[in-house]
Amino acid sequence: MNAKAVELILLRQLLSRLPLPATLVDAEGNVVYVNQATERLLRIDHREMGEQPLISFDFLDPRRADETPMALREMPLAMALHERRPQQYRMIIHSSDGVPHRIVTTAIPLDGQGGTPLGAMSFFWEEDGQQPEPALP
Amino acid sequence: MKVTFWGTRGSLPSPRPGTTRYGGNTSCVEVQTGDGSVVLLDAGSGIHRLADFGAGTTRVDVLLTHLHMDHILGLGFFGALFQPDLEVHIWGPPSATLDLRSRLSRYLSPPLFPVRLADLPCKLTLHDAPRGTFDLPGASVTADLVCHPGPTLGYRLAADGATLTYIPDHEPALGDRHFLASTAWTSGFALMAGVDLLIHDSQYTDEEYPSHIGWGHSTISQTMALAEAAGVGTLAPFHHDPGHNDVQLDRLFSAALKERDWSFEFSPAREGTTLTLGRHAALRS
Amino acid sequence: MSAPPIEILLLKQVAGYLAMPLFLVDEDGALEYYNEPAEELLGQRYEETGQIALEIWGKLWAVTDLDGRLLAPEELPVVVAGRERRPVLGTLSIRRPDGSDRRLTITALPVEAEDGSLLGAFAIFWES
Repeated sequence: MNAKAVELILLRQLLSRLPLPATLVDAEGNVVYVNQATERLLRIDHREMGEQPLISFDFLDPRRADETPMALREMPLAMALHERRPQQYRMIIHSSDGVPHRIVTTAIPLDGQGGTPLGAMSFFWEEDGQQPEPALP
Repeated sequence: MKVTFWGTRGSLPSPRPGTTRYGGNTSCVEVQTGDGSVVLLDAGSGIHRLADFGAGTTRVDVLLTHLHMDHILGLGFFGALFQPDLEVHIWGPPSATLDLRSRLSRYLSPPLFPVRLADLPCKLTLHDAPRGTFDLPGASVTADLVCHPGPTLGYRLAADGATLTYIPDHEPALGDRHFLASTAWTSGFALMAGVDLLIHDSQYTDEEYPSHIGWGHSTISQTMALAEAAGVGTLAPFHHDPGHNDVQLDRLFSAALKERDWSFEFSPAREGTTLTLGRHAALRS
Repeated sequence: MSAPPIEILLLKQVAGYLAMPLFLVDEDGALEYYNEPAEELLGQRYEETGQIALEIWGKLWAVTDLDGRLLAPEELPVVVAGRERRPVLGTLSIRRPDGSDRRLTITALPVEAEDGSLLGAFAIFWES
């Protein structure tokens, strides 16, 4: 049994109820949860996929905002996990049907009290010309 | 392993004529291992019932699950702390900002308490309990955080060929639309899987729970389901609600037992009783 | 007393476990809760402030933008996130009660119930 830390359990319960797309990876970089909003956007069923390393999500074909290719390990969620620093990007990802989506994403490393590395989580939202621009540093 | 319940009540001490059988003192469980080592689980008001430790005891370990008042209320009245030749080790949940001494001192210092930690005569050492397994004299302990407001630990002890899990304050069903659908995603499950004796929060009835969601506790039925899924040997429902008297608790436990055939032995925690753990049965004395 | 929304309960509980600062407001922008790591960064314990209205807490830390302009309470990222129902990212400065300044990077997100009603907003922040 791959027992999950209570912080990830609580976060999963929380993210499952939020309308904003969100993803959770564990300390090993496995995608342990994506919420329904993410599944809808990416056209995936995470329960069918099971827990897989983030870097195996080839269909995402991530690009920088200027459309230059980005390695999966350079994605904000992977970077937050490995560098233990928050990451905020504009970028392009593709859903499983190949449709590109311009998104803004913020990824945050997760550390438990006592210094336990737990993984990372990310939120993202599609850039929409109608929406006010978020202020980015 | 001998397990003695000195306090079984949750939230608030509730001594009154109607609570004498299950007891009115708050959480405190004494574990004595075969080699004479002593481990206390929480320091609620029940701790004052422990006798002074004799000359043969040189060290006592106190494992605190969390620092809510009902689990530390008795600490200032714990006789061992006033024995100069005794080593007392207090373990508690970690914090990102304050060490255990600072957090306990919020209570054990004026104006809330006249005696400071620094003034205690015993040889006192405070530890942040690590998440994972560590050894104490006589027992191996596994600690992990569980679902309850504020950092809260559950403990699993292994000694003398037996195992015990103590999770007195626990709400694993919080926000979970499909409770127990996945044991990997159930708080505390790994700590209790296959254990000989599970001492677990069973504070509420199903009717009481909806108005207490988020308070950090389980219903009796949730705990029974958890124990069944975890394959425990014996379940000791614990942390009895201060509003439930002995007659009510008898009725609640009887009803819970009749729900279905359960695979575990059922032994609700009663103050002053002792269970002796063998490999497959907990014998009450 | 009715239970708070489950989303708020979960947020508060997970905030209590995590090492990163987290700050929560209700649907009106009133201060709901912040965790111990946030207390460290803000230089003030939550129990010293409690649940207080936006007009009060919004001025407690003299929040300024990168140009040094003092932000009104309604301009704070976590308040904007709740009011406009959108994520807000930003970098700003605060002045702690001891007079020291801190530069913070903030991600603020709205919290909505499954029926779409606004429950509040939360911000995760870290020292830049």
